[in-house]
Amino acid sequence: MNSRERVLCALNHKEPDRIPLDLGSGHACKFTKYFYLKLLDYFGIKDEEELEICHTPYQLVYASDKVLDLLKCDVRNARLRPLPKEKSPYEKKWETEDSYYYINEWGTKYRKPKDQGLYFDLVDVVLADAKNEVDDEKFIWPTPSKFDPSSRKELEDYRAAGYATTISEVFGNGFFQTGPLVYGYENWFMMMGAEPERCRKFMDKLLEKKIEYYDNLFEVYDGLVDVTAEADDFGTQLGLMVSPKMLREIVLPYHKKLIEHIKSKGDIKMTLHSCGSVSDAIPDIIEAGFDCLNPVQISAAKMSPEYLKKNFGNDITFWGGGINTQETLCKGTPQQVRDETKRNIDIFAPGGGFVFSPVHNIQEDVPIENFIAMWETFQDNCKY
Amino acid sequence: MSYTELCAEVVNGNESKVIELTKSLLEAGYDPLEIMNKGLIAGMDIVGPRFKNGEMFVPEVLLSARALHSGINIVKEALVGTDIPCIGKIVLGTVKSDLHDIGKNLVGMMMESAGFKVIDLGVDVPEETFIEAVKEHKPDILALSALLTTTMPNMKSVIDALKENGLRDKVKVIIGGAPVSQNFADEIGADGYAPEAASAAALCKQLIAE
Ligand code: B12
Repeated sequence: MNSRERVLCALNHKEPDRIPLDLGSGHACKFTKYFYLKLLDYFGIKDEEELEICHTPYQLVYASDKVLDLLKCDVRNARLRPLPKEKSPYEKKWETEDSYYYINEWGTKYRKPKDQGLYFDLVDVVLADAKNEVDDEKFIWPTPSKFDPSSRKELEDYRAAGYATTISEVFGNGFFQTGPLVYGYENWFMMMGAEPERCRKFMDKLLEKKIEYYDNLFEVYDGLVDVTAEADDFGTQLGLMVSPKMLREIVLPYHKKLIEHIKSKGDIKMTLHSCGSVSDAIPDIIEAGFDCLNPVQISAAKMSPEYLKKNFGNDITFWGGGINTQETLCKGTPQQVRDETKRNIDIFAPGGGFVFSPVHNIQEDVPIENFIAMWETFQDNCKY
Repeated sequence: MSYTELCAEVVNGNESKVIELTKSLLEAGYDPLEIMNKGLIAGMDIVGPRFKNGEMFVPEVLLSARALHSGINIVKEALVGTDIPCIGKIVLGTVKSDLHDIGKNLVGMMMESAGFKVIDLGVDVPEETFIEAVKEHKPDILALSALLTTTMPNMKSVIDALKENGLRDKVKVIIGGAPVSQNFADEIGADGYAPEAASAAALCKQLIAE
């Protein structure tokens, strides 16, 4: 079996020759810059590998093929090459004595302190004071990029080499979490509760834009994408942030429409990235048409591997959940990492429906020994 | 028109109704402090546990808190001159490098409705700012939030900085956020931990009583 066959087999809920592995490519399966540097150092790879950031706020990188091959990863992420387009009036970049700042095309303002800031923090939004639909109209929507046709070659090469391919860059966030980029989290939440019609208007427009975004992608990558992702965090450590009813009635119908559109473009599997305790929403997530769940936050309430596999294992693929990144991977001993990795594999692997990846992007606090302990344990236990 | 009705509208998160009822109660000569306690805050006392039990979610709690605030502001106008009772002062913030604040803000709201004065320093707050705020406001409690394993160590740095500045025994420190646990609180020498907003307010009351 090649990597692509392996991933597709697992996604079709059958057991491949071994568990597919995704480190560095899928939605929240990536490396932060700081951890990636440790990894390069471990492999003795010098600066020749230019560090390419794929997500500025969280400082995530596009891992190089060399590293991914050394790690025997089955999945490859397309490096999107957007063509130049007219700049959004919001976009801006500057620095002050102590911080870097930028405003993106959503008007979201970010700041990173120059001394030891690990991430860019979201500090301001454009519709923070919007009170009604008249104010809402003031928002200047970003135009989805078109992509460089020559980047098709990258995915053609991956396909020819037998890898599974994914696009994990999302236009904004999902339908639930894009509003906060424009209105701020609390305003958006209150709108969801008290003025769902305003939210729906926003999401109608977002759906239009997302369809345009995917159409632009498929114009370049037609027939070459195996998996894509939308990202909407529904959970907290203890439960859902919003009621299952609200998700079912307001948010997920939009995902469903988008998925129908994407799937009309080919045999493409859809992943939902959703952090925290989301098990109460999994039946509705499945119903909306998602094939995979990521990052599978097994450390949150009602998210134990046993519970998830038993209740939903036949209907959704767990893309993640390989090891707890809130405790074991960053703070445990290598032996604890080995034990947990093995235990989770034993639970998630039977019958397919599992792609191994840690719970979330690897942060800089993960010791390299723990990462290697996880990887070695995976290699020793991945055969079916 | 009654306290029960007002209380119910706080639970419903119906801001305009809360404003209307608070005004009518005041006009009808009800005692402002009673309106606040038996009507407005009594509503939040229902919201807290419901949130904790998963019967209410973040949007509904925020709406209730907004309604409560608007009601309280009206009562405050009627109370100018009188001291509004406050059971203690809390300085609250999310530690350095961390921007998560949805949970911290809910915690602040529950503390306020429990009768505390809350000074919220926001997110990505460096140690120095916490120290300055403790010096300036002399709070009973310093409440720290962190949602990331990479920023949890900054909670310990704040406690260390309190010690260096001779302030550690002047203020109780409580911590919380998704990856935080009682164990971690014990490890870094914090005085308390709570897993969610309603218990956080209860914890503060308990610490004040000690
Ligand atoms: C929403 C969210 C975001 C939003 C934050 C928006 C905002 N304004 O807050 C956005 C998208 C911006 C974000 C960004 C990031 N996030 Co985030 N995020 C979450 C998520 C899904 C929910 C957090 C939340 O708001 N919950 C809702 C509130 C109500 O709950 P709460 O915060 O837990 O607060 C309650 C209690 O904890 C407690 N409490 C909170 N504070 C305090 C304080 C005291 C004193 C007390 C007593 C109690 C207390 O009471 C609160 C109310 O009940 C969590 C998932 C999770 N498991 O928590 C990930 C999560 C915290 N994020 C994570 C990560 C990795 C990030 C990023 C680094 C990006 C990334 N994906 O790589 C960036 C970091 C940016 C930065 N500088 O901080 C990881 C952390 C992993 C780790 N190693 O620790 C998590 C756990 C997701 C995961 N699956 O792994 N995130």
